[in-house]
Amino acid sequence: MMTTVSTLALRMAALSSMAASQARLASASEEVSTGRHHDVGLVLGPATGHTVELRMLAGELDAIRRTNALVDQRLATMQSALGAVSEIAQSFADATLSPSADEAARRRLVDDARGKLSALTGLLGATSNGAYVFGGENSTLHPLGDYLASPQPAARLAVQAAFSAEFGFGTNDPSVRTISASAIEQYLDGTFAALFSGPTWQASFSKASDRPLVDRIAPEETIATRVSVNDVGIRGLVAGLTAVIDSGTESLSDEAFSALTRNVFGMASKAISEITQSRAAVGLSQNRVTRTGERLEVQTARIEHEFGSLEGIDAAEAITRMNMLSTALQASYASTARLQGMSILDYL
Amino acid sequence: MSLTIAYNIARQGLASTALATSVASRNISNASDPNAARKDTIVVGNAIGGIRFTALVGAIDSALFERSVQTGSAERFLDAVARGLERLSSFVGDPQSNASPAAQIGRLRDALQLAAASPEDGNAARSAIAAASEVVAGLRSAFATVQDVRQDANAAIIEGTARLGSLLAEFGEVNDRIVQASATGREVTDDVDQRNALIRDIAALVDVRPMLRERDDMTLFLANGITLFESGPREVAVVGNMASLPGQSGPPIHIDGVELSSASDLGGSLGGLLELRDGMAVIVGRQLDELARGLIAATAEYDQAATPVLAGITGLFTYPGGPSVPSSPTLVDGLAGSISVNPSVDPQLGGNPLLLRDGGIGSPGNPAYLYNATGASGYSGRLRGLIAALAAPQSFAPAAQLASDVGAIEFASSSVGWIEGERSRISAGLEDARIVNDRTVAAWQNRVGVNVDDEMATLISLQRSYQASTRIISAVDQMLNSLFEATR
Repeated sequence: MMTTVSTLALRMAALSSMAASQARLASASEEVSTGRHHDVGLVLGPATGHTVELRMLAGELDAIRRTNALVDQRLATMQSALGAVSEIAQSFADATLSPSADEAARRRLVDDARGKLSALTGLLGATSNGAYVFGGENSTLHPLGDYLASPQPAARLAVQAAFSAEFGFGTNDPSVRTISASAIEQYLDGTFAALFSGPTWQASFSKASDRPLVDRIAPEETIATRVSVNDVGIRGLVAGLTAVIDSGTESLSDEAFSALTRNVFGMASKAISEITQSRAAVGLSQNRVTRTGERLEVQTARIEHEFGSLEGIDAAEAITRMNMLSTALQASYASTARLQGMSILDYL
Repeated sequence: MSLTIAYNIARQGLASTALATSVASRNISNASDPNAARKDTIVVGNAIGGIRFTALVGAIDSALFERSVQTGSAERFLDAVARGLERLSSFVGDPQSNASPAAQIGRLRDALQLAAASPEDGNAARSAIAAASEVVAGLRSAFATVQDVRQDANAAIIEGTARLGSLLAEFGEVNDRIVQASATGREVTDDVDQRNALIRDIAALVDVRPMLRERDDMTLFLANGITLFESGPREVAVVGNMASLPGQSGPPIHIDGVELSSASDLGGSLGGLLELRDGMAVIVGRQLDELARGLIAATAEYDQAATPVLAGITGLFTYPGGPSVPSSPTLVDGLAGSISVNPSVDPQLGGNPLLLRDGGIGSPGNPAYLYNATGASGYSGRLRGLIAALAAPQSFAPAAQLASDVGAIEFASSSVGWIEGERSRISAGLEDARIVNDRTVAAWQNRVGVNVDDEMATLISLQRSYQASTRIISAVDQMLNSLFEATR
């Protein structure tokens, strides 16, 4: 029994294999030039979901990296402002350590305090990326009002009201001379101190929230830096400066004046160490952000490598494959041509 | 007289040779027809010792033919599914393009991250809302793609069913001719070729099994036994119209009064289209709908009181059934096509983007749903909460054929994995089916097809045989002449 071959089948076989080789060669050469699979979804199948997830994670880490830069900027602004605040506190402490009680010296002391309070208010109004950094969650309000503004703000009125309530006369009254040292001490430790704590501080002086800004610095990590104008150190410094400005300083008796400056020196010294604590808190946050940033960079590199290798092809292998296919295609062209050329009709 | 007998034998030889030559030339002209079988003449000896043509037979290999019909059907089934999947996966795209709904949700999360770092910044809030709008647009467009694929599959099914009906009618005519001719002994090889060609065309549409009966009568059945043709064509119809509701099966195909709901039983391109229309496309649609529901659930707002009494309401993402949140994990057909960004937060519709930070999107001004109780500008809690919610595990309906108890983001990426997984699987299957079919059809063609070189060689020998017969005739003629000369 003869094995039969159909002329049509012979022709079709050659054509269909050539077409297939051409298609494979085209996709192989595309892969060589892009370095990725020609049709990633087709090759990876279900793993496509994984590579999409990896890309999303890389995108998320990139977004976090950008927001961390903003957080870093904010913390740096806070740190630098607190540095200057610390210097003001130091200088104020030096000024209130046994100052001379003569009239000129007293006036210089009061003027110095006013200057320092203005500077302090300016520093505490630092902004980063359009938001006040010392206001806690109240990021769009200047956290500390201008005490020396005119008309007099609520804070100043409150202080003067407290003085009047305590002594029965205002800070500009000549009767200020009659205030004893112990009376002024009592006032400073009592009624005056009450102005700078709790609800009165927040009602009159501070617009800052006790709730801190919370930042997401890594996919599963948040940070909250509890440093604001409401910090004990800053309150103490403001209290000290305000005490010098609005306790009838220039008219007090010498003993009362000494008592005042002694008390204020105490406030300033305490403020210095407490401000240092605030600075430490900011520093801790800065460290965390930096460390997290380094970790995220490593993670990002790893993720990019992973989806790159999932979607990518081995360049050497692709080039080899391309060469093999092109050789095979050429061979199939040659054999097709010969086959088509072979016909008995040529010999009849 | 023996000379006369020799003369007559030579004459019969001439006639037979002429017939065989015509058959050879028919074969040569049929060389390019993939359905034409090679024809051979059968000659037998007759009473006077010569030859007589009795029959013209076409080459047959029923086993290979039937096998190649089946492989052809299998290839068309997978081809129809593969084309549909190609379209369905178009909204996923190459992972690098980040065009899939999953990638868009990822970008929404990133926009929320930026907003959380600057909660007082209206622009950051607007960007987040814009990202949410893109998610909605992506989901709706994907939903539209699914509906289009289903509608087009249905149109193709209707067209295919009509074509099947007309092919069966044509088959009936050819089959009748063959049966009648068999009875009268007429030559039917060309009609048989035509009937085979029709079987192939029918097999492209459904998985048909031909069976030969007595008198060359052919019957056609589906693989599961349903009759397509028996003495006459059976009724093939699509019953009903495409439902306007997404997620519902389309109108069924009825053959010989029996509803065919199993696509694999139907086979062929009609079966593939059915699998696509009522199977894969529906599942993809469900995945999109569940994703939409997951987003609505993740961004829903709840009573912030110490002891909550009010129900949850839709927040950033809502739908026509809002503000009530769709219950979990109940599938809502078509949700992906009707999800929207809540107008109270969309600046393009006069909404306030900062509600994203504060909460109360679903019920602006209602303090119960206000997450930012102090009204602080730097409050990032709700924004961070939304970020977490997008990844927080939720329950998803099992009908979507994906994992439950995963976050919306993971659900979205696993949907990508499902679609591409199916596409990959079907494509590999199709390539195999194509190779098997090509080989089987080629094997059949090699067995029954025409080889032009062979026919040419036959023609040469026929030519010689014709020459020899004419020689005999002229030799006999000369011999008779000399006899008549001798008797003058």
